[in-house]
Amino acid sequence: MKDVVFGQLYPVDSPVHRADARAKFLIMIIYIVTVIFADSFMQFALIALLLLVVMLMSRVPPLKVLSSLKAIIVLAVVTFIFTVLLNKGNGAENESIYVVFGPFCICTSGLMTGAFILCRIVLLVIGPALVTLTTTPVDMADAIEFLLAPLKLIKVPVHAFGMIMSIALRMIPTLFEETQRIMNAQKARGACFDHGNIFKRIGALVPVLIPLFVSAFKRSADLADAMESRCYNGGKGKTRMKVLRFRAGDIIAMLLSAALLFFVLVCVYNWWNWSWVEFMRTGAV
Amino acid sequence: MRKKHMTVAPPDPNAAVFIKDLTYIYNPRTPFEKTALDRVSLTVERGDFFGLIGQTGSGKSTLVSHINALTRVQRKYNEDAGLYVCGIDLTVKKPDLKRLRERVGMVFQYPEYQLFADTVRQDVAFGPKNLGLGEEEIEERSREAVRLVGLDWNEVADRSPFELSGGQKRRVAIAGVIAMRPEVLVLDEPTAGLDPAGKRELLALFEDIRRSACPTIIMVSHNMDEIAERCNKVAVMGGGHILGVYAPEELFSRRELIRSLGLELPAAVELSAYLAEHGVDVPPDCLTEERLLAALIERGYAK
Repeated sequence: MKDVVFGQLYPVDSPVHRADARAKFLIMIIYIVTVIFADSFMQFALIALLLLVVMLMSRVPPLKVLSSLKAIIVLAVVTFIFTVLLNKGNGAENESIYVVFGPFCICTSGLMTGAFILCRIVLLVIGPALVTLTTTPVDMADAIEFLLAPLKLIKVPVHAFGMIMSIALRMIPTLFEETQRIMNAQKARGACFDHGNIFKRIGALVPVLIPLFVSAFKRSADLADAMESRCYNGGKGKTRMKVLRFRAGDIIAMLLSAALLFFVLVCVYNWWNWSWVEFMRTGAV
Repeated sequence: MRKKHMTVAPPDPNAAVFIKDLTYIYNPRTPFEKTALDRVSLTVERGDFFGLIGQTGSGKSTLVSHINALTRVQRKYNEDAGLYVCGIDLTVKKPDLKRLRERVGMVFQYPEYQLFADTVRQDVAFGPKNLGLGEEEIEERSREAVRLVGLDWNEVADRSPFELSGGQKRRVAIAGVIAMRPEVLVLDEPTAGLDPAGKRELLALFEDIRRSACPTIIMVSHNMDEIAERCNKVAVMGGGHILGVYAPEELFSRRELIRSLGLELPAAVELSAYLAEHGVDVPPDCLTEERLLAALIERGYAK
């Protein structure tokens, strides 16, 4: 239970931390599209280099960023193995096949494709991880609310979603603390949460869950009263205490990321038959 | 291990709690790192009504949660520390937690929030049941505990704890702890949120419990009146250190210390000092209301 960490914000002060959450969110989306479009190792190298620059600017220790890969390590390894084994080769002359057994084989193009997909997965995880490491959950919720604003046109209650999200995020640490406290109180009365089979363990949680629900309901009732007594009526005309503001840096960063996407697209499709694009296609798969 | 045995003094056999050079660091090696306890040493004798005071964040809660092993000794930072509770060594890797929790009862702040069962009977029986006692023993202990907290067993036993009044809920929660018949009772702000009459009653109750069931009580409190009235020793904490252990008379005559900690003097001390200053013939350091009243009556100021 004590390993539950919500929101993995790494609280230091850096330009990346100060950037507008909406900008970070948009850049993250552009980044994901870029990584998915990129089709050569050279392009990945370029993206990784830029990511490294952002990471250094954020002053989050690189090991901390890399540790976000732990969650997907199994997925990445399994994907790699199957991609390598199931690739039959492209039939080219310089293709060398190393091992063959039954329907499987290990060949150059298989290894290349496997490594390529591995790189893509790693880049797809590290980028968003960098965003969550540098943005508070509340800023994140505000950013999502802002970006969903167009849905208001089709009568989706975006503001209510945003409010629900903010309150939920705000309450998670509180409820977590409460859980710890109640668990401690029951432990002091001799309760044991880590013995016996799964059913016994679930049964042992009843003395924690019931007080937790009781206090959660009480809290929500109190909060509803507090909001009503401040004339909260669902967002109409509500102003923000913390106004999100795009600054020049945010806009430049967004333009740069859009430029990167455009550059990668040019590399992939080479609309104008520029010769230097061949360089960026080194290691294409 | 050998080094440890050489450096830790053997615990005082009469001590209920023996702490030596205990250190605790929250979130070590992260940006949130914070030293909550810095080589704290403290001894609580059997039979003490021991007060623990200090500002929020001074380390009181971390210290008392060590006593019940809810916070485990960080062995990495405590190579030469000692922590014995009722003779049980808590610095070893696997202390006997079951025996420990049988001997140390803990009443948290707002204990009524830990109630969960359908009836008061079941809730109070939760602790004894976890000790693996027989049905009859559990029933007997529950009855005794409910009586000790001043409730009528026949009236409350089969009611839901959630339909009782606030004060009654708290008493039921305390009964749930006392039913385990601990030797040491740790109270964390037991009277927080009660009205003055409720506070008084509850404190009197703890005095009864101490006399009849549980000889040693450790009380964390911000209320100096309570401390002055009940405790025979008071430890003052600040910034993760024990700043001193005093008898209440001595502690509350050190006005500078109390002020520097951002704490207040007991109302009776303030009042008697004020009276003495303005020419009324009373000793300026009457600790409790009763003593001040007695002094006033003795000198003919009141009847």
